[in-house]
Amino acid sequence: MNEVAAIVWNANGMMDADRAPPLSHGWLMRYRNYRVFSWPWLWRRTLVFGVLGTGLGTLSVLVKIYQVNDWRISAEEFIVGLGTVLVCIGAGPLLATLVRLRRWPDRRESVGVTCALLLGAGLFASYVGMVEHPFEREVMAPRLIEAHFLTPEQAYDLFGSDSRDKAEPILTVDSANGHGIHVHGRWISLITGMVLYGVFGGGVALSAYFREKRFIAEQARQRQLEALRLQVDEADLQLMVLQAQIEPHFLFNTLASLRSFIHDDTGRAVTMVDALVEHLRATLPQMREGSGTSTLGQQLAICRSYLEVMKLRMSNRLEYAIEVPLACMDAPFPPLMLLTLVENAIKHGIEPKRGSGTIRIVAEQRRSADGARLLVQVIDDGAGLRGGMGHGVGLSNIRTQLALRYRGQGRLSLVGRSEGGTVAALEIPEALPRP
Amino acid sequence: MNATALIAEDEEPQRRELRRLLASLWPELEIVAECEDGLSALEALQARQPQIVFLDIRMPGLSGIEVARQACSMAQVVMTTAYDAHAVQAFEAGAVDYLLKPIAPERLARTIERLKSRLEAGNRPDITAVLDSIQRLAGGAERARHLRWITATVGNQVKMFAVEDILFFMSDDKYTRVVGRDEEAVIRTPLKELLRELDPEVFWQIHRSVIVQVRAIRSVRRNDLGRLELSVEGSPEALPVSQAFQHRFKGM
Repeated sequence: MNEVAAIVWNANGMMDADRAPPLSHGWLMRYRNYRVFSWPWLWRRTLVFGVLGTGLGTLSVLVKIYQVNDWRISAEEFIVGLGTVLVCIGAGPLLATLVRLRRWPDRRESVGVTCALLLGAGLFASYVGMVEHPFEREVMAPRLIEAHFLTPEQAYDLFGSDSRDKAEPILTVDSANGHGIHVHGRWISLITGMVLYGVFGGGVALSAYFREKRFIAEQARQRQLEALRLQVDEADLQLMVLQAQIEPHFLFNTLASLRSFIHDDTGRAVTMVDALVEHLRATLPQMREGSGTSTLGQQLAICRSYLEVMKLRMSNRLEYAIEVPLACMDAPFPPLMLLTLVENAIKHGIEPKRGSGTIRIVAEQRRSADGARLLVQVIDDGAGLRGGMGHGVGLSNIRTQLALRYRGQGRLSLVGRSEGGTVAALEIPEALPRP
Repeated sequence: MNATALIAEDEEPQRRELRRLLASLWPELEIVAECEDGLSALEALQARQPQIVFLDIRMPGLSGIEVARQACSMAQVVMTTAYDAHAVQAFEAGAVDYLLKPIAPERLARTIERLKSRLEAGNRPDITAVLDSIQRLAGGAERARHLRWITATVGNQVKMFAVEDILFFMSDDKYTRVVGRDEEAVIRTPLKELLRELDPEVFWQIHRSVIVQVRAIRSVRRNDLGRLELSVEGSPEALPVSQAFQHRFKGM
C-alpha cells in the first residue's frame, strides 16, 4: 500500500502539475513525497528528524561534558535527551500511522488521527514531566551547581530544583520574586514544548494530512469530471459516426448520375448500381454495430466502393489505387477516419484541379520500441494545400477520435507534396492503450 | 429567336442528364455553354450572355451561389442541388427556382413553364437578398466555429497544423511565426486577423505581437527590468507581456 501510495503520489504529480503538491527532492524533505502517516513517510521522517535531533543532542552533551566533566552523567543525559527527541517526533505520528492503517472511513480517520496526535502530545508531556525534568532537577542541576556553572538560584529558575534550602517552603513572601521567575520559566518551557511539538511532533504533519485529504478529494472530483467528459465525448463520437455514415449529398448526386447512365450507358449504370450497393453494404451494417469493431480491411472496402462510385460520377477524371499488404487488413481501425481523408482528397485535391487525378491509399506496419504501429496514408496528386486558415470539421473530428481512442498515441498529419498534391497520414498503435 | 441557356455542373453524367431532359422538354432551348466549375461558368456567362443559367450550388472553386450573385442581373438563374435543406428554404422564400437532384422531369417541366413566362415578361427578379441568406445559412454553421487548422510553410513544405498544437503566434515583420511543440512555421495572416478567428478562451493576446495558447503557459515571472514574461511548455522562448495585457495575470 505504501509503495502504491508513493506511486500514486508521483503519478498525480505528473498528471496534474498545476495542482499536485510539488515533489521535494532534497533529502531533508523527501519524506513529504509519501502519503502523510504511511510507513515510508514515518520511517523517512523519523530518520531525518532523528538525525537532526541526535545531532543537536550530541552537541549539547559535548557542552555538558565540558561543563560537568563527568562522561557517565553526560551519557545518561544523552540517552534521556534521545528519548525526548524520539517521543516528541515519533509517538504522535506513529499512533496516527497505526490509525491510518485501519483504513477507517473518512471522518472517523480524521478524528482518529487528530486524537492520536493529541495522545502523542500527552505522551511527550508525560515523558518530559516524569523522566526528563526529574533527571535534570535531581541529577543535572546539583552537578552543574557543584561545577559552579550555575548558582542554586539559577538552577531553581531553570530546572525548578530547589537545593537552596530544603526546609524553605516554595510559597513565601520572601521567595515571591524567585517564585515568579520559576513560574515564568515553566511557562517558557511549556510554550517551547508546544512549539517544538507543533513543528516536530506532528502539528505540521497534521496540517499536511488535511491538505493531502483535500488534495485527494479534489483529484477524485477532477477524475470524476474527466470521466464524465470522456463519456460525453464517447457518446458524441458514436453519434457523429452514425450521422456521418451516408452523406445525403453523396447519395443523391450518385442517383442523379445513375439516372443519366440508365439512358445512355447501361453498362456503366450497372457498374454504378453495383458500386453503390457495395458501398451501402459496407457502411450501413456499422450503424447498427456501433464503432468498436471495425478493421482496416472494412474501412478500405468502404473507401474502395466510395472511390469506385466517385470515379464513375467524375467520368474517369479520377483514378485510384489501394496498396495495402494483406497482413494489415485485419488490424483494428477506427471507422470513418479513412473515408474522411479520401473525401477530402477528392474535394480539395482532385475536384479543384483541372484534368484528372489519382488517389492512392497505402498502409504499412511499423515496429518500434513502443509496439507495433499502423501507418495509413492517403496520397493525391491534386491541387495541394494552400496556406491560410481552416475551419474544417472533418479533420478535427479525426483528431478528437484519435485523442479519445489512443490517448495521445495516434497521429494525423497533412503535408503538401513537392511534386503537387497532398499526403494525409494516420498513424495509430495496433493495440488500444488501456485507459 | 430561341432561348439560350448555360449549364454549370461539375459532374459530366449529370450535365448530360440535364441536357437530355431539357432537349426532350424544351427542344427549342439552345444550350450555348456547359461548364465544369464556377470560374469557367462566369467566363462563359460574360462571353455568351445566355438568358438562362442552370447552376449547381456545390462546385469546385467558385460556388454556384457566388456565380449566381453575378449572373442574376444578366439571366434567369435556376439553382440545382442534391440536398441542401437551407438552400431549399431560402429559394422558397425568394420564389426563385431551384431543382433537387436527381431532377424529376415533371418538376423540370414546371420550371420551364415559369422560365418561359418570365422571359416573356422580361422581368428579372433581384435575388441578391436571397443569395445572401443562402450563403449565411450555408456558411453560418461554419463561420460560428472557431479556427481549427492553419496551413503553413515549414521550410519548403506546406503542412496543416491543428490550432491545439500551436503554442503561440508571433508577428515578425511581414510574416507571422506559428510556433508548435515540435516545429515552427510561417504564415502571412496578420495577428489581427487570427485574433478574430481564434477562440478567445483558448488564445490570449498578451502583446502587440504575441498571441499565446493559455493551456501552454507554464509560468509568468517578472524579469530584471520589471516586465512580465511568460514561458510556455515546450519552447525555450520567453514571451513579453505588454502593460495593457498584464491584468490577465493578476494574482498569478
